[in-house]
Amino acid sequence: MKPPITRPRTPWLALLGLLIAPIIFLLTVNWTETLNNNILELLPDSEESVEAQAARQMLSQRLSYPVIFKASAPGTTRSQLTDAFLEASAQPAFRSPFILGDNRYQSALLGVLKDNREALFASNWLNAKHDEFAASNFPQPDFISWLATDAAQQLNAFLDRPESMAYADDIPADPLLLLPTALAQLPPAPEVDDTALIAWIPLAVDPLTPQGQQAIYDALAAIETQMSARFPGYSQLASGVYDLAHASEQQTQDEVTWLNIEMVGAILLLLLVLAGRPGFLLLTIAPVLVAGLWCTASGLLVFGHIHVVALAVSSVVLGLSVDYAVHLAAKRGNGNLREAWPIVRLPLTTSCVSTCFGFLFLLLSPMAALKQVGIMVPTGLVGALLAVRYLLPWLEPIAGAYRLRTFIERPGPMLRKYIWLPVAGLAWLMAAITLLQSPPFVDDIQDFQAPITESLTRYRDLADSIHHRDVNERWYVFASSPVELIKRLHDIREKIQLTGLHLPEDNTLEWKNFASQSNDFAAALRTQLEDQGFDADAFAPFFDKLNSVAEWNSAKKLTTAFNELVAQLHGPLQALLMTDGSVWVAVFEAPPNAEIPASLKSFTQELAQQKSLNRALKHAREGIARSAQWGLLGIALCVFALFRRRGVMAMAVPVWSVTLGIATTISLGNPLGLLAVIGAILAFCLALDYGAFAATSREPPASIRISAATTFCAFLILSFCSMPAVAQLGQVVAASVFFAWLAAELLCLPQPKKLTENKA
Amino acid sequence: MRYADALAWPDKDQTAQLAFTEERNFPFRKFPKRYAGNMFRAPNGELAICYESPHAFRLVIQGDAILLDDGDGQLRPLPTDGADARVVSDLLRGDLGRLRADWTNEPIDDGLRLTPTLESIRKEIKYIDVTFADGRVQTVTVNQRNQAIRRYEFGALTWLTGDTAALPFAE
Repeated sequence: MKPPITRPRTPWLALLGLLIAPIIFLLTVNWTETLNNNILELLPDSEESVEAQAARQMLSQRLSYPVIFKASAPGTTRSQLTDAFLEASAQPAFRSPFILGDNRYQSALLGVLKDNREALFASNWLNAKHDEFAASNFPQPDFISWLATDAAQQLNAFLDRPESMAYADDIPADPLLLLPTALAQLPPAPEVDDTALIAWIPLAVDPLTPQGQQAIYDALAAIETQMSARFPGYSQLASGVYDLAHASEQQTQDEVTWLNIEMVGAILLLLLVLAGRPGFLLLTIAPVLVAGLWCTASGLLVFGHIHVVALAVSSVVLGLSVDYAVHLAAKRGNGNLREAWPIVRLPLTTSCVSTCFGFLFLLLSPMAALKQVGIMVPTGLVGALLAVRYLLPWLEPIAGAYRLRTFIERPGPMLRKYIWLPVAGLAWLMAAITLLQSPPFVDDIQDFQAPITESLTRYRDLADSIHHRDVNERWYVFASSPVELIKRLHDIREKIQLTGLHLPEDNTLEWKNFASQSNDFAAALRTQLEDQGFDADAFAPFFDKLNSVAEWNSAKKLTTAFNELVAQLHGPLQALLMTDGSVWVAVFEAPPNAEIPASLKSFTQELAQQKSLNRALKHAREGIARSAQWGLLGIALCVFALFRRRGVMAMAVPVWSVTLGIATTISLGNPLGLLAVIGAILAFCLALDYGAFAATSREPPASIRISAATTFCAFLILSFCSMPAVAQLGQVVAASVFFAWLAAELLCLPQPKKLTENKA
Repeated sequence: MRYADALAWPDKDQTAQLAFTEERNFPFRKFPKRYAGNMFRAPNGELAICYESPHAFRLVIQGDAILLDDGDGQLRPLPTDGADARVVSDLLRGDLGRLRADWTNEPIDDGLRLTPTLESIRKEIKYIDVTFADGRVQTVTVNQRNQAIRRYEFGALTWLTGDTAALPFAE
């Protein structure tokens, strides 16, 4: 006769700790500030020095963050739009905009180059002349007289060129043609469309925060309103990091919401179908509720906020925690849950510990959002386990009588091990060969972003219109002073063939020699100029400066020149040189596919963040995989200590299923990245859970069937996520769980000997 | 406006060729630099200024763009502001409508003085004196703000057809 279910004493302590306390805590939280969708938390943490971080920050703010803006109106030109735009763009979110093709910037920049030509260009001139002189085979003592003759001849020839008329003012102070020579070496300025206004708008707000993004959208709307009122048919297009981040975050948030709803819905529906009774559902919901509360509360307590992607990945806790209730409830048999607990205590605790261990690996992830998952899911699982132990027996009378569907408890067909074991072994061997033959790893930061094709196309079109592309072949170097910056650039040039990098040369010795002979040079140049038809007295400004030639490219002059230069660089031109007062940064073109030599890496980096972020992902994946090897070895030792002889069986399930799971994922054409590796570790822990139950079970694996079904469903839904990295995690775990269930089924198949024993 | 009208090129469906000499005076040179060459105007308004001595190079004006061939046969655009290039090409092409819009003119002996009204041009050029003889432009003297002076003197006008006419504009 079935014993009556007696309600145990109310577990006040468990109720308080597992439900009441987290609910009270969560009620005190300001929910408008807790859900965070800052894209930075999806980027790997930087391992850069403080100086490198300052340089990266400066590059982001001045090169990556500004809004790229294009406006036009029928029958109007750029110059007609400019004044109205400058007035309309005076918005709190924006700093002073830079308009492409505006001559005012060019004039100011030219003025700085003119005022500092000796500091910036004289050392290059001397070096070039030394090279030419060396090729001329003149005897060394004649260098100064050769130099004077050459200078006068070059000047005379320059006057034949059409552009010489524009330099008539400057030539008396620059007979060496330092400025015209330097300007001629610059790449031609890109042509600017005269029918449209293209602006580069620096920001006064953070484009990565929702508040900053809203301020930018408001400012752009205000510009459109003002400009439309003045120019009929006016249209504008804008893009930037703010727009990409906003689109990505919006899509992520929407998707996370739907993923959670779908996962909970699918699990509950599945449980209802498998158990057939709402009472069973009530038992399973309790640990799910506790897991959700503990998961959220722990995330908020430790991090102060939760990233939406962390919330998406953490939702797997719902699928995992429901398993605990299923394991206990399925073992009730004719007794009650308190009596069932000792049966499941060992496998359930082992399962919980191993799964927590799997998720704790996320603390090694370089991404802040994934670290949150590493705390939230284990806490949620521990909460779920405690709920199963202390709350479910108390809730049992409420749930009433229930019984699992008969097919859940139906034993499998009698099949001897030697029949299926070779097939399983062969399958594993083929999977292992697949893994060894095709290294399947792809580390791409774009896999962690929601696809935002429309915004990205708009951004690329606008970036193309100003010839500003975040290409891989650009590097930047940083230093604490202009002199150090130049020295470092020279160090780079010694190791890497660079074109188009015009640096003040480091020729201290040659310069000292030249300075010591400056009087001779002045006298020789006077003579040569007169001989070539010039009025040497007209060059008095130059000869005056020649008296202080030793100081022309001193550190002080160079610093002054760089400070003045950097103040006149606007828009994309800022990439040439920038400073925040303490750190100096210069960007330059690197040869295609060149790697930064190890000796330069402390001060040289790639401008395109994608490559370095991909490398960070690769390092993180390899680091996690290495740590996992030791972790899994530890788990294996624990399993053998706890299960002794049956430990081999328990361990065989995860080893077999994860190998097949990964091989299946690859065979379906999916690459594996950081999250896929984390998924494989998680899948190993889940499969070990099934292995532990299968190794200790003498009955059909009913709880594993329910557990695998719910977990498989949860991760299958995750595998449809539009973020490829999250989808990869879902695919690896779903495939591995499927094979783990299959392995557990095979291990629990009735054997002839066992049947005979049972009959006896 | 008789003189001003003479700024326009004669209208004919052939390429006009005009020999010229140029003197460039710089404040820091004792005597001017001298050049000689031919100016060509195609029926479509394109202009080519081909210098022959002391060494060969040419300037081609297509629309508002000024292209330079440094003697190697390759035309490269000169970096110029679009508006300024347009004013220069208006002047060389003798576009009377545009010249009246961007320049003021006042009579001088045997000709007229053109003064730019656009601020960007005024920064570079003080004024241009044009003299005429027999109803045609005889000399053009460009007085720059930086004291450099260019003086062009034009010879006889001839007309070209066929390959000879196309050669100065070849890219």
